[in-house]
Amino acid sequence: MPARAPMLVTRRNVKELLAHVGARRLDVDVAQERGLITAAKVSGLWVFASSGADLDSSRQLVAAKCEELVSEWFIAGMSWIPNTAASRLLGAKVTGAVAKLFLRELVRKGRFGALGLLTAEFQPYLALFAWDAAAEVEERVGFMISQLARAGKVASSDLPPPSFTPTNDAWRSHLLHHGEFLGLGVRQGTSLLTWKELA
Amino acid sequence: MSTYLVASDSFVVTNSGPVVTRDLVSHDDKIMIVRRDGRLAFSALSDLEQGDADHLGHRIFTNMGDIFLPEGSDILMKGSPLSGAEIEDMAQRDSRVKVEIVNVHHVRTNGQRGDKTRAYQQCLAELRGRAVALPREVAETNGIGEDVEEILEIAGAVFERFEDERWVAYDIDPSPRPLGRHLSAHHATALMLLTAWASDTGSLVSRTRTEETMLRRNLIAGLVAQGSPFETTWVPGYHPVECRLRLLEEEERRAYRSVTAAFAVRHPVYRLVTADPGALVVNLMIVPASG
Repeated sequence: MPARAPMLVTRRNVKELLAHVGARRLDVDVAQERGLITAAKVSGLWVFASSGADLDSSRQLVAAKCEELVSEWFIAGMSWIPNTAASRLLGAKVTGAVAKLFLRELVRKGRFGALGLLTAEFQPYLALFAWDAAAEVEERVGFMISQLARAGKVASSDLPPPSFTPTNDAWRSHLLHHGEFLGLGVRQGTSLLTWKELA
Repeated sequence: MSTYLVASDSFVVTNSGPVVTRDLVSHDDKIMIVRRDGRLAFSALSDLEQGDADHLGHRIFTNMGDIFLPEGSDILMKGSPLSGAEIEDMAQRDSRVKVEIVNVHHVRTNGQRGDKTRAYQQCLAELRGRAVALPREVAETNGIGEDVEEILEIAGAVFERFEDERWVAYDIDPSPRPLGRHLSAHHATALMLLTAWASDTGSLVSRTRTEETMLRRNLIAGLVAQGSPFETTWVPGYHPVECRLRLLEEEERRAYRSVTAAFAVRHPVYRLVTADPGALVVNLMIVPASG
C-alpha cells in the first residue's frame, strides 16, 4: 500500500482529513483519541493533521515554499502567498488556510522583512521581502521619496529594478502602496503623487 | 538610590505632569516610583546622564502603548520581572504575556494645562514635516476636519489643504520645536485630531505608525496628564505596523495588560538615578532598578 501523503486542514475542512485517514465515520474528537489525527494551535487557531510528524514536516515545507516565493517576487503581498505556496507543495496536502497560519507564524518570528500597506478601507496589511533583499528594498523606498521631492510624482515604471529579475511586477505596486501608507502622497492609477501635485 | 536605563522617547511622571526623559532636570524634578511597599511616590531625580546613542534592546507593544526596554533592564510582568529578550521569546511562541501597569487614574500630579498655542506648535513640530492625511469620511465626520484646521490656525502654521475622493490632507511647513517640556491635555486634544483615522461610535480613533514613537508618546503622555483612560491595539498582531488608540469612557481597573509583540531594536538611552529605592514608572509601565 503506498504511503499516505501528509494532510493539514483547519476545522472547516476536517471532514476531508477524516476521509483521508480512513476515518470518515468518526467524530473529530474520537479520531484524535484513537491517534488517527492530531491537532495543534498555530497562530491562535487549530490545525488538524494526519500525524504529529506530518504537521512538523509540512510546516517546514510551507516555510521553504513561502521563502522561495518571497525571494522570487522581491516584494510579495502577504495575502497572495499562502494559496500559491499551498498549491505548489509536492508531497503534502495543505490548505491555503493552514499555509496562511504558518506564514503568520513565520512573520511573527521575524523570518521576513515587512512593509506596511493600506487597503481601500484604510486597514493595514503587509508586503514581505527576504532579509537578504532588505538593502535593495530600502534603496527603492529612498528612491521613491527623493523622486516625490524632486518631481512631485513617481510612476511604478520609474522604480529601478532590483539586481535580479522578479517573477512578476507586483513589487512596483506594493512600493507605491507603501508610499501611501507612509503618508507621502496619494495613489492615482500606477503613480504616487504628492498632495501638492494633486491640487 | 536606584539607577535606571530609560529610552529617550519615553516619558516619566513628575509631580507637575508627564515629561519626556530628555527634558528632565536633575536635582529639580521629582519623579514617580513604585516604592518597595508597592505604593506610588515621588522621588528626587539625583542624576540624569545621556547614555548610549545606539543601545540594544526590545520595543514592546502592549495594550497601553509601547516601550523601549534597553538590554540590562527588566520590566514588571505578571509573575516576575522579565527582560525584553524573554518577552520577545514568549510573544513569538504566541504565549499570553501580561505587563503590569499603573492605571491612569492613579497618576495624580499638580500639572497645569499650559499654553495651548505652544502645545499645538510642539505637536506640529513632532510631525517632522509630514502631511496630516485623514480618511475623507473621518474628516467630514463631526467637524473633525474643521477642528484640525483650528489647531493649525491656533499654532500659526502655514498649511495647504488638499482633497480627493479618499483623503483630506494638510501639507504643513515644518517649524522648529518650541521650548516647553510638560505634556498636557492640549497635546492630547491636538494629537488625537492630527492622527484621526476612524470615528467609532462617536469617539475618535488615532492611528500612528509603529515607528512614530515620539508622536505616540506625546499623545499618551498628554492623555495621562488630562486623566483620560485609553487603550491601544497593534495591527496586524503578528507584526504590528500601526497603533490604533481609542479613548475609553471609563478605565478598566486592571493591573495587567496584554503584550502583542516584541522586537529587538536599537535606541538612545538615558541613565536616571533617583534618591529613593524602588521601581520607576515609565510610559505607565514599571521598570525595576537596573544592575
